[in-house]
Amino acid sequence: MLLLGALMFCVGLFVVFTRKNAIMVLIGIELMLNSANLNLVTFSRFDPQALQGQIFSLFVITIAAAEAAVALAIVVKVYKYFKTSDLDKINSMKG
Amino acid sequence: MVGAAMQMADGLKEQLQSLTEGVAFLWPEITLVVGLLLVLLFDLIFQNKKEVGIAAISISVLSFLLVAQCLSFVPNLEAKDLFVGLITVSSGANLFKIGFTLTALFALIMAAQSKKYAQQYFSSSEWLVSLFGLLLGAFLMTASSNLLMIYVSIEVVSISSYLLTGLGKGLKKSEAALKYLLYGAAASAVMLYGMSWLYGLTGSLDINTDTFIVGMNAAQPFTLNIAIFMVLAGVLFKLGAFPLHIWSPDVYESAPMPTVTVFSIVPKLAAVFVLFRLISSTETTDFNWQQWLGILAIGGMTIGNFSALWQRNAKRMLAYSSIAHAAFMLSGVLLFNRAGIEVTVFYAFIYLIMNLAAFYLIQVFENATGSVNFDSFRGLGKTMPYTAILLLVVMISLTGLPPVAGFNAKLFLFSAVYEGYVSTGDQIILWVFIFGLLNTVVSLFYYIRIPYLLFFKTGDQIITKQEGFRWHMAWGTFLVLPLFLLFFRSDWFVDLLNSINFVF
Repeated sequence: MLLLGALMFCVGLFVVFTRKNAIMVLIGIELMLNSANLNLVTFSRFDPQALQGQIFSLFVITIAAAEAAVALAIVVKVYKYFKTSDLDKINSMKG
Repeated sequence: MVGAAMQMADGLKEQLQSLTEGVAFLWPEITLVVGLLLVLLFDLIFQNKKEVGIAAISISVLSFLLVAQCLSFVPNLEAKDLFVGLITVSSGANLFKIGFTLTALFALIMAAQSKKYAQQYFSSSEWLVSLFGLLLGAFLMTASSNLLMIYVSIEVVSISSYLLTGLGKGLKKSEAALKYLLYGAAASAVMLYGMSWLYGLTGSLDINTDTFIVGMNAAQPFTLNIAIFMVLAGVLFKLGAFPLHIWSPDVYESAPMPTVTVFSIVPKLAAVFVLFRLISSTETTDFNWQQWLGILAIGGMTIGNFSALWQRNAKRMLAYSSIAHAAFMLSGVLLFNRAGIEVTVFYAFIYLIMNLAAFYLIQVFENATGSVNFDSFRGLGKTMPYTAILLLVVMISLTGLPPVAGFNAKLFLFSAVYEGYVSTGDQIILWVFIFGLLNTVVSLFYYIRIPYLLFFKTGDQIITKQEGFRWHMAWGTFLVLPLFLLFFRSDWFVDLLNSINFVF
């Protein structure tokens, strides 16, 4: 499970760094969040007192949903102005 | 069987009792939530002419909070764990909360005076709800002593900040919001993955418990280093420190002035506080905090100050300057002794006042000319002499020259760093000291440029009428006076800091 989590995290990070589409980058971020969830749930098995990890992963899922909602709203707004979601073309500010 | 059930019921009762006791300590947060709901309800109930009502509600809630916090402030409060260790209440955190409330209140005053944005801010509740959300997140960040709580509060601050950046029309705003969001979400995902490993290594999420500290000390160094680095990523992003500072110039340039004022102060200082807590529970581990924070501080100062030299926009310049100031604060944090904490908190509060004053005065000029490009400042010193002199004082303070409080902040910081070097003999601290001094000289060049343009250049636009008395002069003076006061009587604030019980 931990290996799977690490693999997912690496894939997510790779997607974030290489993809040029805002939506793909967001998908990469979701992958990273879910790999952390997987880790938390796995480690939670060894937690002697309580299932803190599982609770944590529930919070993460909720926050990820909120973040995705805000992210998509912003992407829609960016699309309205730039007519693209390609991150290389969204660079009116530099320096 | 029955006895066991009784015992469980008793335990439950005790736990519930401790929860209700904890709620009493959360009154600042509860006030914020009530204020948020009031603004939201007011916006929903009334149809038009909402500006005055919304502004009145939000300003009165924040003023009430500020006064109540100041009155109930006790310097040597015992640190107290609440909600089964999710939150730790301490005097240091309360001091920071007062600073945050002050900043938000001032941002509201700025918003009300802004020519461009006053309408947008108060005509609907969106902006204020996000602002209250950010403030709530920052309050919880200073109080949280549990990885879950740290993550949730950082995310509350982040999501509110994305919204604040993106609200309103404009190509630049949406671009900045997207960049901010992508960097921020990636940084917090990395932080979360690091936290999951910390949980795996120690079996506990509460960073103040013995289990956590014992687990950290026993952990394998390689895994531990990577995990702490990952957690650091999220905190550094909120701090706007090198190397996760790339978002800040764009966000500062495109967001409205009052929003930027909040961004440049509240999340940064909250992140400093989280860093204190993280260090205090991982101090004894194999992770070499001084080494890494030293490198980050040196990098941040250099990048921040040298990039600021090339800027042609006042807000962008202040963005780079805030990156450099974050690095200065890191160099206080890395000492990690009592003196280090005190000078960092002193620096943080002087930075708060300086930044409030700088952004406020630049907004006054923005109201006059409609732009924050350097060219628009030319020759305004002749038509608005008093405001220009106030801005000159603030810029001197940001550089760190006497006779203003910025000098004391830098002096205390550098002497603490040098003492840290003498007592530990750590090379990296010496390098931080040297780079800090050199960078202070560099920063003089860009800070002094705006006053230079104001006084020694003649402008294209001819504003013939001399300025009379304006309210903004009173507010500007109100902000600049503490800078003089704390230069001559800095011992007042230092005494207060000495009496505060900084337990994390």
